[in-house]
Amino acid sequence: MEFLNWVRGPGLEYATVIFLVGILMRFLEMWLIGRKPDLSRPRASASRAGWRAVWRRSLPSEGLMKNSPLVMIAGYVFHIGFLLVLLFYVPHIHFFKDVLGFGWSGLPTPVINFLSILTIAALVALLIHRLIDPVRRFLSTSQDYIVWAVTTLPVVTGYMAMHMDVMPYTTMLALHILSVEILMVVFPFTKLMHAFTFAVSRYYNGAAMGRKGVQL
Amino acid sequence: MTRPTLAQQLARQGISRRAFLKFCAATASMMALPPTMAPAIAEALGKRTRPSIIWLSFQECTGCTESLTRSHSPTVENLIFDLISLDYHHTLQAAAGEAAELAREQAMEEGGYLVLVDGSIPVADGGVYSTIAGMTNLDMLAHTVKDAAAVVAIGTCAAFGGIPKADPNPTGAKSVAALMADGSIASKPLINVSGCPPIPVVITGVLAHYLTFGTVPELDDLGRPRAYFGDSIHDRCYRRPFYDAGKFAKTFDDEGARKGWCLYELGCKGPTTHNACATAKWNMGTSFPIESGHGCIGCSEPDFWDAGSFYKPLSAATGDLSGLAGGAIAAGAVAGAAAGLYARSQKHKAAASREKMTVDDLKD
Amino acid sequence: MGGLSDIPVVTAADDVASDTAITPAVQALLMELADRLEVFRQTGETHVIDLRSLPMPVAEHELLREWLGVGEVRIELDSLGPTAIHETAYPGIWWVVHRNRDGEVMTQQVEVTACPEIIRSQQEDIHEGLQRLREALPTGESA
Ligand code: SF4
Ligand code: SF4
Repeated sequence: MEFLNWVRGPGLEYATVIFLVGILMRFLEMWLIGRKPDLSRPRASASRAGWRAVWRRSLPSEGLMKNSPLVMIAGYVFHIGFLLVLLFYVPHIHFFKDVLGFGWSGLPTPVINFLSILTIAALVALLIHRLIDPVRRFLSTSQDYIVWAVTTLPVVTGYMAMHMDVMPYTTMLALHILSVEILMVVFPFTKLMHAFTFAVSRYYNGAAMGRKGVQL
Repeated sequence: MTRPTLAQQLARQGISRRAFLKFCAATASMMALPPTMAPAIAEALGKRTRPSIIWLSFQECTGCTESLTRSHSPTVENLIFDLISLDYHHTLQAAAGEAAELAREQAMEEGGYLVLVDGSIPVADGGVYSTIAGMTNLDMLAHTVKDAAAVVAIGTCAAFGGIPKADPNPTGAKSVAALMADGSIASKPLINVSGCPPIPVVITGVLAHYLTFGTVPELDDLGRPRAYFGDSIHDRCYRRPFYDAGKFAKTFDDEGARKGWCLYELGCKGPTTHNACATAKWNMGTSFPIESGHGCIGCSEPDFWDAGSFYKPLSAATGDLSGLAGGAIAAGAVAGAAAGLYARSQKHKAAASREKMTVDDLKD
Repeated sequence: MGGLSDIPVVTAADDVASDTAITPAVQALLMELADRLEVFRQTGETHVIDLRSLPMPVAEHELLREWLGVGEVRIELDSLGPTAIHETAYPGIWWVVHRNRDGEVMTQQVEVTACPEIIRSQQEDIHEGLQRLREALPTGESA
């Protein structure tokens, strides 16, 4: 209980501060580094291509789908599942409502349950694939494994907390919140930042290409 | 002098065996034991002698004593109190002043007594915040516990520090367990009967257990008897089916509230609170808070006063995160600007020392 | 702000239609009792349910009592306060309410047995009663 009080109170406050400060720092840093102005005459609309890239690259590409369907499907499943569970589990909404001042309606618990299992399964599949596939294994750094762990832990602990019979709910809830706090702290300083930067970087690439007249 | 056994004592009071069996049935129920245990209780009780009890009250509100003396089956409790010898209790005893302290000393001479404590013990500034007969609470406790057979911490204050220990704890209040852990008082078998106040039937049930079997009941990791604190309120809540079905009352007077839906969103702390309310009930077995439409506030858990608002759902932060976020964003802006400018100057330096644009420049 | 009368009040009883009044908890208890009665019939093993140990609103105790009904036997004890015992409409299932001297309920039990143990005369009491009887007997000399 003391532990739970800490993670719900000071722990969460530290994590939130680090998370927000970290993200802002990263964004401002990127923005301030700046780009040299491109003086060439644009061949096509940069912004159209930029937006197009943001959208197009969110869809599965045919080539990849053929070459490694597992990575594609598991990747989508886990990203979508993670987001839905994060944003539409009723207790989560209460957390956001408390911070943001507004809430929204959630998904029924059995659905969340199912999504959590799917998400965990997809994450495990991706890890196994990363370990087995020689190329991916070669390309993986320790950061990839850390990022995997901090993403997976909140889902697993959350699922266990929901099923209160496995471990005492008080302990599980505390561990769940702690795992989220770890995620928040690690987030701004690792690849996890892509959750915010993916759209920006896709737009940037798309716009740069579009300007040069490349068909995306 | 050999003390009479409880069975002899009851027989002397003209209590029949049948009445004794009835008492044992009630005791089994009170001890949260299956009714089939009643004969075993009868047998054990028949052999025991009357233990002596010293009840010490420290930084407390007397709520625990009120709870006990207003308990809902007076005959059982009265019997229990006939069966134990309550030798010292500030509030209940007739004696006062030196006579009272003398009674405590006398009860202690025989040793093997049970010490009941309610209230937390202030240790800041030499313990001046609470004294009795010129003795600090800590000294009195240390002195009394030295030869005790066991200690029962009654109520959340004695068990975990309670409201006196709530942030910022000006008196340096500590629980009995904390004092045993840091060596300020002797370590004895300790039973924590938490609750603010504890359920009367739980207090008497624990005493009855000690009285009957002469042992400390099985305890959980916080030193509370499993028989009463093994399940959470949520585990045994009759509104649980609504929780599982995702039906939540949103306000205290909406349709859901009237239909008796789960109170999670109104701040119910039942899932993290271990106590016997859902079965033992309050007010002569009438109901318990959730049955009356109010969420559990977690009164039997450590530091429940510091666990955030009683009306915020368990999944919400206990502090004011949105206020904090504003500050964090400002700090982030400053830190980010500094980092950005630094990176920029590094970049210019790098650019000065090389001609071509590299792939690196395109990243991010 | 309006008066008290503006607050809509729905009492719990309104929600429970009286004809279909059975709750999951009561249903589970009835099933347990049926199983236990079968066991008792075959092996003679008795069973007791302590209603206080069950997580259900007090109103549902009443509901269970109504469901079980009243049978042929009704017994009153006066022992440390009144105890009321009746056999339910299902022979072998007994309803036992122990009260204290103030008339407050101490325990409420449902027993599966041919006769609740507490009704029988206890050896200790018989022994003590026998002594009293002998003492009360007029001695032969005075006759
Ligand atoms: S009212 Fe509280 S204890 Fe009962 S089911 Fe809801 S959250 Fe759990
Ligand atoms: S319902 Fe919760 S807060 Fe209320 S008395 Fe019981 S344990 Fe304490």
